[in-house]
Amino acid sequence: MSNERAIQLVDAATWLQLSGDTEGARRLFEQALKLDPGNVKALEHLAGTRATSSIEDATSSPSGVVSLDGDWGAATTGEAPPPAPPSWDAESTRVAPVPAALLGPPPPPTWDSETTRVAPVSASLLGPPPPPSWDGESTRVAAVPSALLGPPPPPADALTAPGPTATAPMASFNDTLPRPPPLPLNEDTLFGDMESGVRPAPKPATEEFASFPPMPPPPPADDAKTLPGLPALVAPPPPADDEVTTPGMIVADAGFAAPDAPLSVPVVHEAPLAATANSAWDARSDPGIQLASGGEAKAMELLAAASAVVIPPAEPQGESVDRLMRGAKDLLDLDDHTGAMELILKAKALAPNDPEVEAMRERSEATLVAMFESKLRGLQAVPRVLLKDDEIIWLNLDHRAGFVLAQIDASVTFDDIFSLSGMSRLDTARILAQLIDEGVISRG
Amino acid sequence: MSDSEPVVGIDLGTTNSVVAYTTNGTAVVIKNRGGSNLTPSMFAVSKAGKQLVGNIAKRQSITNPIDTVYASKRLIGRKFSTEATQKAIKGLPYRVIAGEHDDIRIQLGDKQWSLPEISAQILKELKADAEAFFGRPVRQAVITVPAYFNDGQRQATKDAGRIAGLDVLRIINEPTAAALAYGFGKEVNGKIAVFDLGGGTFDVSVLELSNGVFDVIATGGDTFLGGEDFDDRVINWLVTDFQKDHNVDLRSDRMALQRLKDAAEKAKIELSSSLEAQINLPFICAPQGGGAALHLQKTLTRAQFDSLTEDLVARTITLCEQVLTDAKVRPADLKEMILVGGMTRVPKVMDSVKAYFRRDPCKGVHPDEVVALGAAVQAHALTNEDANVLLLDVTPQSLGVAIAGGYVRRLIPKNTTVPTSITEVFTTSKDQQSTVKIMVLQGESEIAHKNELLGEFLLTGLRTTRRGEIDVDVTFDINSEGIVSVSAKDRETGQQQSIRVTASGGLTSDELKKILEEQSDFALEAKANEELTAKRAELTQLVSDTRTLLPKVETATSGSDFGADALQRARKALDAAEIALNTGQLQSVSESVDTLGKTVALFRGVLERLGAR
Repeated sequence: MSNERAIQLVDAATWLQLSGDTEGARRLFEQALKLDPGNVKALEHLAGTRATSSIEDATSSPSGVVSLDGDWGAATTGEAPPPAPPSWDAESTRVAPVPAALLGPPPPPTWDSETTRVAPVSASLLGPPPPPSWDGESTRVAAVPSALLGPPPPPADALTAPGPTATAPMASFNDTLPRPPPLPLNEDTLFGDMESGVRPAPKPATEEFASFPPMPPPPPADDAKTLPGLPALVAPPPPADDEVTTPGMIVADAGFAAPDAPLSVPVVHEAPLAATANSAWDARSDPGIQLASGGEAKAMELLAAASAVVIPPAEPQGESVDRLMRGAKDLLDLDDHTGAMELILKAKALAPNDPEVEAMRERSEATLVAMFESKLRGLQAVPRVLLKDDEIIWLNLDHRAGFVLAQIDASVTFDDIFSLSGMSRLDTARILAQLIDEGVISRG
Repeated sequence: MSDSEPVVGIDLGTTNSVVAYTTNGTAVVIKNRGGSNLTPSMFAVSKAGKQLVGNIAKRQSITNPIDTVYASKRLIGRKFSTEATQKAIKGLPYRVIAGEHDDIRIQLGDKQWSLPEISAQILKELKADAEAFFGRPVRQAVITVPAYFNDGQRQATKDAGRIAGLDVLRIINEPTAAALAYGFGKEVNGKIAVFDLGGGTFDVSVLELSNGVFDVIATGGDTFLGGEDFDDRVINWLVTDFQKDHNVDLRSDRMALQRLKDAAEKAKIELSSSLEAQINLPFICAPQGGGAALHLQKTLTRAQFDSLTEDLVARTITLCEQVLTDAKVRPADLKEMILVGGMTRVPKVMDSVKAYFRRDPCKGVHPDEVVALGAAVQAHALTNEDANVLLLDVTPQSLGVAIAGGYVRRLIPKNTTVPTSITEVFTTSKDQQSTVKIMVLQGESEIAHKNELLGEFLLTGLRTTRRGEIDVDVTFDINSEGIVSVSAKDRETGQQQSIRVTASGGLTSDELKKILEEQSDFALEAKANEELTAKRAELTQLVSDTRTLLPKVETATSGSDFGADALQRARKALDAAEIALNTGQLQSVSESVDTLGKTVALFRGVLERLGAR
C-alpha cells in the first residue's frame, strides 16, 4: 500500500517538476521516499530536483559568485579537475549548491573567510580534495546531486563520517596561520567577464607558481578548528607539494596573497581564451579543463538523461486527471496550495466539466485568495506606493503588476483595486501580496 | 448650513456629474467621498457582480468595457429605432438592446437595465455624497438637462431621480443654469452665449434674458465632440511612437490602453497650467517574444498638444458660427459669454473662443461646476420664499399637429409658460372625408416626421362633404404638471375625441412602479446587511474576548464552586457563535451576541471579584 502511495506521490511530484515547482516536487519525492525508501524514481527525481534547485540558487545568488551562464568549465567523473585559484581572503564567500557535473571541479578553499560551512559532498565525485580553508567563516559547499553526476552516491554515512575521504574543508585556521599578503590580482582576473559569463581560461599551474609566494601548509587535522557536529568534514588530506589541489570553482573576494608557508600553491587562471577558442570548453584554449575522451559530449548527455527521466509517459486522460487530483490533494495536505492549484488547473484543462475538479479548484482558489489577502491590512484599507518613480522602474515586475501598481494612488482601497484590475481575484491578490512582500506598496 | 431639509442642484452630465447646494446665498459644490468635485457619469458591474459608480467605474472602463456604461445621457428617453439612437449606439462597447416598447435597454451581466435606472445609479451616488456631507437625508433636487432635450428625455431624467429616491423639483436647461450661476437673472437683459465643451459633448447656446425670463433662442453643437476626443489624439500619438520604438501595438492590450487613457487625460489637464507634461507609464506591456516589461516615458509639450488637436478646436468655432447664424446674432451683439465644461480650460480653446466672440468670457466660476451651481441657485429659489430668482416651468419644445403634406402646424411654441391652453380650427383636406387623424408632435422641425410623435387619435363620424367645409377645433391643454391633453371637436355635430399625453421616459408606469418597489426591497436588504455586518463584528469581538477570558477564569476559579458548569456553557456558547458567524443568519448572530455578551460580563465580574484581571 505504501509503495503504491509512493508511486502516486512520485507521479504528482513529476507533474510539479514539469510545471517548474521544484520545491513542491522535492517535498513530494521526499514523502515518497519515506514510504518507499528504495523507490528508484523518487531517488533519481530527487537528485534532479535538487540539482535544479541548486542551479536556481546558484543563478540567483546575489553575490554573483557562481554563474552557470556560459562555459565555466566542467569535469566528468574520474577526471582530474583543472586547477583553480583559491580565494585568499573572502569575507563572505558563498558557494551555492550546484551540481558538480555542471560546474566542473569543486571549489577552492578560502584563505581568510569568516565562516566556512560545508555540506556533505561525495569525495568520489569531486576529484582530489581541496585544501583547507585558512580562515573561512562563510564558505559553503553544498551537496551535489548524484543523479547528474553518473556514479552512485556513497552511502549516507560516508557523507557525514569523519575521515580524510570527506572532501570539503571546514577548518578555520585564522588563529594558526599568518594572514597572507595581498595577491597581485584583482577581481577581474579572477572572474573574467561576468557579464557574458565567460571566465578567462586558467593558465597552466606551472606558470602560476612563479607568481606567488609559497602557500602555508595545511595544518594537521588535530589543530583544525572544527565546527561542532561535523568532524568528518574538517580534515582534508594535505595536498602533495606540486599538486594543484584547487579545482576550478572560483570563490569571491580574493585579496591576500598566500602567507609564506609550505603549502601547495593554488593556481590563478588569468589566461584569456585563445583567439581560436569558441568557449572555455574548447580544449585548445584551456588544457586545465581538458575533458576526457568524449567528455564534453558526456556532460551534455548527463543533462539530457536527467531531463529525460522526468518526462511522464503518455497515459489516458482520465487516469491523468486522477493522478493530478491525487497529487493536488497530497500537496494540499502539505499546505502547498500554489503547487496544488497548478495541478488542479492542469486537471481542469483535461477535464473542464468535471465537477470534482471544479469544486477542488474553487476550494483551492478560495484558500489561496485568503492566504494572499491575509497580507493586506483589510479590504477597505488604502495602500500607498512606498517607492519613488525612479525606483519603481528598476523593479522586476510584469505589465500586469505594473497595471495594478498604477492604480494605487492613495485613494483607492484594496477592494476597489480588486474591482478595477480586470483580473481574477486570485491573480490580483497574488500581485498585491507580491508588491507588499517586495516593499513596493504598503499594507494599507 | 440651515436646519431646513437640504435641497441640491445636480448637473447630470454626459461625462461627469456635479452636485451643489446653496448656503448663505452662495452656491457651493459638494465634494464626493473621494474628495473630488466631479463624479464620472459611469456605471459598471464588475466581473464579481459588484456595482461600481463614478471614478472606480471609470478606471476599469477599458478593462471591462462590455459591462461599463458611459455617456448614457446620449440615449436616455430616446426610442431604440430612431436614427439618433442608432447613431449614438454605433461603436459603444456595451450591449444596447431594444426594450418591449421600443425603449432602450442595456445588458449588464444577466440583467437588462433601463436608461433611467442607469442614470439613477449616478444620481444615487451624488445623493449619497450629499448625505455624507450634510449628515442627513437629501430628498429634493433640481436637475439640469441639455436645452435640446425633449419631453421624453426630460421625463426619463425625472424618472431616474425618482428611482434614486429624489423628488425632482424641476428640470432646467444647462445654459440657463450656467447663466443663473453668474447671477444674470436680474442684472443682465439681452443676449448671451454659452459655450459648453464637456467630456463627451459640445453645446453652444444663445439665450435671451429679459426681466428674469431665460429664453433659449438657438442651440447647437455636436453630441460626439468633447474632451475624450482630445484624449484620443494624445493616446494615438503615444501609441504610434511606442510602436515605432518597440514594434508593439499598445491598443491591443486593454490594460495598457486603460493606463494610456488615464495618462492622456492627466497630461491634458496638466498642459492647461504648464507648458509640458511628463507621461511615465512603467511596465506598460510585455515585449514581443517575452522579456522584461517595457516602460513608456514621453514628454508632451503644449505646442504638440495644440497641434494634435487643432482641428477639434476649429470645429467648435465652426459650430458656434452656425448657431449664431441660426439665432441671427453677431458676436458683437452678445452681452456676455459664458464658458462651461472643463475642456474650456485648455488655453488653445479659450484663446480661440475669445478670438471668435471678441470678448473675454465671464470669470469667477469654475467652468466644470457652473451648471451645478446654477441648479443649486434654482433649487434654493424653489424652496425659499426669500429667494429672488425663480424660473417658470416652460415647454422646452414646440407642440403641434401634423397637417396635410407632411408638415406641422405649431400650436404651442417652445418656452411657453405652463399651464397654458390654446385652440385652433382645422378643416378636412379631402372631399367626402369622414375621419381625421390627429397626430400630436413635439419639436422644432417644419417636417412632421422629424419631430417626436407624442400620440395620435382619430375623430370619426364627420359629415361627408367637400374638403374644407368641416371645421374641427383642436385644443392643446398643458396643466401645471406638464401633462398635455389634446382634443378634437366637430363643430357641427359636437362630436369629440381626446388624448392625454404624458411624457414617457421609456418606462411604463407599471415598470416604474416595479423598479421603485425593487428599490425599496434593496434598501431594506441593504439595511439588513448593514445590521448583520455590525452584529458580526460585535460577535467576532465577543468571541475573541471570551477566548481570552476563558483560561483566565478557569485558572482563577480552579478548586472553587464556580467552575465546570459555567465554563462548559461558555464553551458551548463559543461553538454556537462560530456556527452563527459561518452561517451569517442575523437571528442566530444576534442570539450569540446576547449570550456571549452575558458570558463576557460574567467572566469579567468574576475576575474582578477574584482580583485576577
